[in-house]
Amino acid sequence: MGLFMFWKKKKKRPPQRPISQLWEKLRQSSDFVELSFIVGGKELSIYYFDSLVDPQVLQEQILCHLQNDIPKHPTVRLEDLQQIVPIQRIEVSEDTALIEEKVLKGFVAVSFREQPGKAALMSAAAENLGLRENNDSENEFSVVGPKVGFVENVGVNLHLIRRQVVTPNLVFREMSVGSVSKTKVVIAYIDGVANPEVVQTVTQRLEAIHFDVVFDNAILDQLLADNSRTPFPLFISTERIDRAVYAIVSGQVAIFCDGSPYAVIGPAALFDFFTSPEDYYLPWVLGTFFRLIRFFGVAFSVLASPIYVAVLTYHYEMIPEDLLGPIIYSRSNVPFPPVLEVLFLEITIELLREAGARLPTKVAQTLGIVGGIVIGQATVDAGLTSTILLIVVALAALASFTTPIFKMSNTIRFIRFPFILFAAGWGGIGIIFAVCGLLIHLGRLQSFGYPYLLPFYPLRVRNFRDTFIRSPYSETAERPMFLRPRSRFRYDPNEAKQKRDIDE
Amino acid sequence: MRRGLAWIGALLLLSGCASSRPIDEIQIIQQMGYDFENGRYTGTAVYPTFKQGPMTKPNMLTTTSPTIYDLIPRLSSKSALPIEEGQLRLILFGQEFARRGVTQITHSLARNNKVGSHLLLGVAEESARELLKITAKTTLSDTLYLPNVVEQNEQSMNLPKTNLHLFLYRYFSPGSDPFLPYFEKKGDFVKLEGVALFRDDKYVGHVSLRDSFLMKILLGETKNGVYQLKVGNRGKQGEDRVMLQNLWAKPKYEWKRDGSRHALDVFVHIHASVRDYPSWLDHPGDDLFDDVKKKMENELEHNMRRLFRYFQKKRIDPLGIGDFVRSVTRHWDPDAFYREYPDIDIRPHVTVDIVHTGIGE
Amino acid sequence: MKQAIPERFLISPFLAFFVIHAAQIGVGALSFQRPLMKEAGQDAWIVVLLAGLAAHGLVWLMYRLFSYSPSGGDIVSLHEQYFGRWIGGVLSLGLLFYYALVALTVLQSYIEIIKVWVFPLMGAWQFSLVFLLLTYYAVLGGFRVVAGLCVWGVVIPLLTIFPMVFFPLEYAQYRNLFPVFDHSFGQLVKASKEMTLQYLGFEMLLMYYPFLKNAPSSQKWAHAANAFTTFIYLVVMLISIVFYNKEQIQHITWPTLTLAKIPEVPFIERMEYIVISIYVLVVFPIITISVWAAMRVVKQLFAVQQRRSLPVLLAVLFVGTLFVQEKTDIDRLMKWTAEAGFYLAAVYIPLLYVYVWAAEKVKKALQQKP
Repeated sequence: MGLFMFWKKKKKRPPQRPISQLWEKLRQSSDFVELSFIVGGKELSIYYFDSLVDPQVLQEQILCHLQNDIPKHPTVRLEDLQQIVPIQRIEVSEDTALIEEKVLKGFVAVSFREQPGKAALMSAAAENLGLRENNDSENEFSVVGPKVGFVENVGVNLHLIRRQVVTPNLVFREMSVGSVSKTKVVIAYIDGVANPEVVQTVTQRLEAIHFDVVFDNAILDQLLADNSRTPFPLFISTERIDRAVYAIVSGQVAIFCDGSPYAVIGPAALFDFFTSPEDYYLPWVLGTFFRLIRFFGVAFSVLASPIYVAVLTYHYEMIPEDLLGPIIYSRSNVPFPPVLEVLFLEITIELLREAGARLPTKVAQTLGIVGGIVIGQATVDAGLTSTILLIVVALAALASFTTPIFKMSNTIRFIRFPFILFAAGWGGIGIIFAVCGLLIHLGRLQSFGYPYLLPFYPLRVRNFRDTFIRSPYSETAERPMFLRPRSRFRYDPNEAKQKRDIDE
Repeated sequence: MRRGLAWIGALLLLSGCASSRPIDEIQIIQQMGYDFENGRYTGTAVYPTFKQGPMTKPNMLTTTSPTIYDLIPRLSSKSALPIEEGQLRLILFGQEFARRGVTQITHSLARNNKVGSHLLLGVAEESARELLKITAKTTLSDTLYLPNVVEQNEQSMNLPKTNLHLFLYRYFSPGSDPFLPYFEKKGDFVKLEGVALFRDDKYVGHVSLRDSFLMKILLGETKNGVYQLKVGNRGKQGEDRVMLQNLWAKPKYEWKRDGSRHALDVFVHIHASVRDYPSWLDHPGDDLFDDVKKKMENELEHNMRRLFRYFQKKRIDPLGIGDFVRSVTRHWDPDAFYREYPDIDIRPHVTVDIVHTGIGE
Repeated sequence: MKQAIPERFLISPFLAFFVIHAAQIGVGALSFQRPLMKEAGQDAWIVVLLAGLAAHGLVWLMYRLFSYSPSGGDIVSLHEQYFGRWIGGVLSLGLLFYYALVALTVLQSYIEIIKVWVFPLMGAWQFSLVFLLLTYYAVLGGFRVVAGLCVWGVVIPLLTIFPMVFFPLEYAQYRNLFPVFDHSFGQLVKASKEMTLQYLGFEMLLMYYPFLKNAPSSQKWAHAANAFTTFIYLVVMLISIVFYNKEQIQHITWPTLTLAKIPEVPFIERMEYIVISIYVLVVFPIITISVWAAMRVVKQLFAVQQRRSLPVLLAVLFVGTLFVQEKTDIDRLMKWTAEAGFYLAAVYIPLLYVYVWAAEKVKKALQQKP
């Protein structure tokens, strides 16, 4: 046991390397710059990566002040550099690992000959170099409402959040994830609203992540997930500021990650994926109507082609007499059984979608039209599919795109396939078998330990106000209780509810 | 484990396909006729073929057999695709067949989960096969001519509502007898003639479409139907009749003991509009109008009495009077009731309210 | 003593409403009218009410019984406490067999419906296999998932199937309801025994009682569930009485399904196929909850991991469905289950209550004496 502990300890803390060894290692890169000069009797060295620093900051804020002001303060030490150099948060460290990390992140290390082994670290990183300045949130578009989206720079993202959540309780907790990328990850929540258990879970899970490069928040999303064997997204990822702010205000936790224009929000429930910020910008009657349309779209998209398969394969009795003629006629030349016919068309549509997503926008549009119309018409003419099925499948594909969150709309298109196979096996009963399986699966899912089907199961009737219907703002002062927030109301419900009598 | 599940899945899918019946690989029959000719049963199936277009001529299959149950299997031997009866819309009995009783078919239909409750049944004056042949020949756009005739007449004219459920209900009920629409062949056309009446399962006679108006009202169907009444004696043909359209009617039965025998009072209240009436009624005084109304009521009562007497004579109860008596008698005994049935004094009392007479004055 | 169940596995007391209601309404709701109307004719709806009242009494008795149980125990620990390890164990074992029998009966009678109505050619084993695989997946999720399934099994059919029941009123003959009380009280009571299987399902409570958060407060929800079950049976019964007549219904095996032949919408006919399909959601919670209850008995009795014993029980059920195929066998199975359920709920539980009550009295008297 003791031996084991010793081993572990040894592994955790490698012996401190001398700083010179670090510089030696970094010199291998051609963009590593080392400047040494004597000013005011002090011999100082400056180390940085040319490719990471902003030359203007380096020249105007660091070099200029070092060269001009050190002669005025002959006794200056590294710790006193903050008085001279107008750079925020100058850090002095002896820890070689820290120095290495900071220099690799675009800091400038300054060291004096008389204080060997120590370096002052000043941030001169070119933060926006090579990054987008703005993002029009094109992937989660809404006609009404702000168009600004998150960008790849986490600092900008935090700024965007802080601008709308003006409260001292908004907490950003920073961490570093990824053994190679050392990505800066920030957890954002409102203290006193978000449930501390959730914050703790998130922190623990982030700390437990072992991964090399975090390319995007989507990777964090998967690494954080409670269950990795599900097609359902367990966290919302959004590039819209309003959605993230809304989530933070309702007591959820948002995770930002440097280099990703998406925020991951959790704990998320299934129904969060079908709300669009636009619901809240339109009057509540319209918002509710469009939300219901979206739910209908999901149901239709999942069930339409399975029902077609089930009815045409097994339950011909259910077809009304007026439809009997058109259906039989359109199918009479099709050589396949209904399942293969449906799979053929579904896969065609998936191919079109996938090709459209991979091609440049302008080509994709043409492809969509050419593929949709020409192939559709030709398959019907060739007798490979029936016209009615073409309508059904096209409508189902259309309906699946109404889901505002991309990940969820992918999921919906995917779960259609098991449904089709079940329908082919056991008709209508097979469809309900699949529904049963889906309900069990959803019932078992959790997002940061919260049941995924909230507020439907466990049932929280009081929180139905913002699920299928989007109630007016006078009714939605309460935060969703299933998140177990620490404070109950978003705004004063009594003021919002006040009603005046007629002619008063 | 996972591989095992995949195998199970594949196995299930393969075995599932075995009992599929894709819609274009079955022979859907929509109408069926049953006849009894020369000691053999004849079955006629009418099926649509949609292969050339959504609307085409229906085709026919006919076969004969010494038994009834054997008919559909025998039809199959003439068909390229398996015959499925799940879309059956009409079953037509030939008169001779109906006279011999429809029990077998009825019980088979009651057991058959494939047919719907909205299936229509009917009786043809002569041969069901002839009738179906005419409809198959003359109608191009509409493969379901006969069912549509029945539905149309039920919804807006004099025919009381009938379908498989109602037929079975009346057939099995000890307190009523079933009835069905009655068709006749008129040259190259098929005509709805009235209502065919059954005693238990046997056809015993029919009443005209005019009388079926009274049946419809007495059965408690509140709306629709037209009835022509004679209201005067003003010589010329057509000058003494009015056309009554039922807007809302309600029958009320009362079961009484009248001395040694029972009596049934039937109160019928009709709200009607007069659609067509002779010109001398154009400027009616109040007296004249009341007089006409009185005459209508009298004639309706008279016709009802005649209808009841006909039913009593035939010992049939299509109006479900037995059912009504059961609902007001404790421990009702159907046998005793039907022994007394022909002698029951049935007294109709009709009140007519003329609601309006159209838009012209 | 067994340790208390951690709170995150518990369910809110009001969910008892869904769990009890889902377990009560099953395949029987499709066919209960026939034997009832044979016995009681147009007064069958009174029988439904009578049986519902009796079920209320039994639910009340069960909650009384648990008020004597050691904190948060189920029936197995109750047995152990009052009968000792061996006799109590045998009694609990009987319960295990009963739960397994319920699962088998429900599964088999639903598969029979599928075979008669939809897939006469398909092997029954396919359906039982899919059912049992789904059950496996659900029971692995624990009681919360099972209870969640019960919620869906109540809500979805209530929104889809239940409205269809009202369409046949188009053909209603309201005079069929009269004369009321045409049958003697004795006849009605005799007929109400036919309703046993229909109201059974609350006896699952014996096992999941400790899984209810603040269990005694769930009593009102249990009664509400039973009342709602009564209401649904009453509605279906009344509609069947006015839609069919007494003789006609004797020729119909599943009157509720035949009722569903009536509604028609412009794009779908023959709703009975939809009803049969959605009925999977009604039947499935009963199977999962009885399998879950059986597994719980095994775990409490033998301290076997549920993960191990579950596949064994499911395999037994699967083999069971292979052997019971003929209609007469299925009818016999249903009769057995109804009998067993009747003796469990209406005879055993009252006796147990009396025993426990007396034992407590004696114990108290003994304590006071010295």
